[in-house]
Amino acid sequence: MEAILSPADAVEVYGNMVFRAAFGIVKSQQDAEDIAQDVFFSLVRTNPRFSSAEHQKAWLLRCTFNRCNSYFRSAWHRHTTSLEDYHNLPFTPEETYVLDTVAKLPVKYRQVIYLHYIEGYSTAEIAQLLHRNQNTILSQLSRARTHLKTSLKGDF
Amino acid sequence: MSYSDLYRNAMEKATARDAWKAETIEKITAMQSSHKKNTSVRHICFTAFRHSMVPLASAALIALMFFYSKNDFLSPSLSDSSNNTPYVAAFSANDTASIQEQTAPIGRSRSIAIFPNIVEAPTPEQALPSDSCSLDDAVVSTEQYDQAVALLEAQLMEQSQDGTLPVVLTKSDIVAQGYFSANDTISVVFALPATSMGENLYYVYEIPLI
Repeated sequence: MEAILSPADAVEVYGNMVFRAAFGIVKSQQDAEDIAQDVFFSLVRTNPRFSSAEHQKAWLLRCTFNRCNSYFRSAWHRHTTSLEDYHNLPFTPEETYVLDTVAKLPVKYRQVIYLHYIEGYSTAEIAQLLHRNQNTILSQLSRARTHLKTSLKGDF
Repeated sequence: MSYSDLYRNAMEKATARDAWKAETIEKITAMQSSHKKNTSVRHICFTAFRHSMVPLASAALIALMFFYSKNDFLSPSLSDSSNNTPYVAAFSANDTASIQEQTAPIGRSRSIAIFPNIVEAPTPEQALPSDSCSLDDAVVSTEQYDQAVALLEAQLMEQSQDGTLPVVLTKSDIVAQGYFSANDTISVVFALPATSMGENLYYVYEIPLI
């Protein structure tokens, strides 16, 4: 069983995961970095008690999604237009195309796609993590895939 | 290569720039040293109140006020804030009544603590020096404060009507007296009318800001 990490170690181990989760939702590298940093600050400030390493990882993901939701609700976001700066990252045209297509999905679908395809969570685990019904997750995943198939003209 | 593989690759590439991690670890280290002092004093303070150890609680509160008033207590990123004065003056050292604390199974409220016969708390205007007040980087804006007060007023009214509260309230009875913020929470203090025991009740709600 993996150990529960101190906040500094958690940045090393889960930093990329938290960043990617935020990046997959907010589509901006700088904003994703800010959100990831906030998530780890919350870990220090709230000092939650975890029952396992998996619990800690799930908490970090849940906190990241909450922060992303706050980001979308923030006045700053509502009054600014994102430049979608990931176009500056060294992506191939195909990767940019896929990211663009995923980014056009509603946030709830993006969360599910990220957790399933990047983190490898099962629908049952995603349901637990996002506090949603498993059937809801199954239909959201299915709708997201259908949407991506149509947009990308191929299987996702 | 499938589209899902392309998506995975792109996500992997996105994490290439990780300078923020070193910065985050540095800030966390600074936060941890100050946070440790903060939580220990808060813990002593609330434990002492719970067990009617008023002198100890008073001492802990004074220590808490002292820590809060020091800029070096705050994390480096916040030490430039000029409005650090928190609200911590709601509790009196003269009271020897026991403190009741109960869990509040409502909304996002973490707990309710009842502090009988407590000295007058500052008004929100006194507690809020400007449009926001920051003890740590959980800045509470007046908007957040107003939202919290509105939410908790509604909850108090609900509890009043279903008999959870020891007093029956009307809307005008509920007055937010002030707030303090620390550790990602906002604690709003409400003054309620005296009960039949002649005690003034002050309710403190802790709401996580996450």
